[in-house]
Amino acid sequence: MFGALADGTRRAMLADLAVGESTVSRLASPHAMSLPAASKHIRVLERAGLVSRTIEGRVHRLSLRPDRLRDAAEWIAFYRRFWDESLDRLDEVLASFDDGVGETTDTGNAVDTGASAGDAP
Amino acid sequence: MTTGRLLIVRRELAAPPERVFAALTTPAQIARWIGPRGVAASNVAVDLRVGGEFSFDLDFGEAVITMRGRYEAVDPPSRLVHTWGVAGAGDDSRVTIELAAAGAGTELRLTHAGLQPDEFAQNRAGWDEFFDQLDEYLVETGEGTD
Repeated sequence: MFGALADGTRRAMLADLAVGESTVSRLASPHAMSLPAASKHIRVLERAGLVSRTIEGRVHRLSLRPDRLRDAAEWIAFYRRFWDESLDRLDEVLASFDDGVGETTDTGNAVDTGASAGDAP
Repeated sequence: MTTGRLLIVRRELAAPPERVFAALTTPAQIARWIGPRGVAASNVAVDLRVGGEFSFDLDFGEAVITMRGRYEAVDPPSRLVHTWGVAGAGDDSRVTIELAAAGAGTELRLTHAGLQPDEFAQNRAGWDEFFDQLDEYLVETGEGTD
């Protein structure tokens, strides 16, 4: 999906669809782009699960599938927080070491050893 | 397979690169900082070499999740690259950590990228514009994420 999102034209089409459902020609028009070229972009978005198409006779209505975008947004929000907080904690761990003295235990379990590495059980 | 950039985090840390690298790669130290606050890490295992694997458990309360990955570059004290994913799920991403001495401390740069096949040339117009639009959409529809 992130490949589908890596293109500026496709992101603009998603922004248009966020306002409401549309058609291929309406999505193409701001980009001075041929209908086949626009269709190709839209197919990429469909394959990525971001856009769905309903066909009524000769009219193809395209609409946004917000659940997939929300998944991506949640993934990014989760990992932004994950790394921000992990690096905050890393900063605190580094600050808690005495000069030249690191962690001496070899266990892989989280242990609250307090401020002094020398007190590690 | 090419990568899509997802997020970059930069930090200044008050310790020299060698110590930071040790904190990133030693099981007992990893356990003390990996994961969000309130989430305890355990069972940290590290095989620190190219092709070696690491894994650890994160206790989120309702669920304990095992994270694991494989090291792709191990260049102490300046560079560490590894894959990253939940054990059992097929959705791996890649984390690149670069360390540079900055005075008595270290400048750390972490890039977390999804692994996606990309049939089209990547447009480097940037992610921020998209995320601004996404944020606006989510706020408008009352489904704002924090």
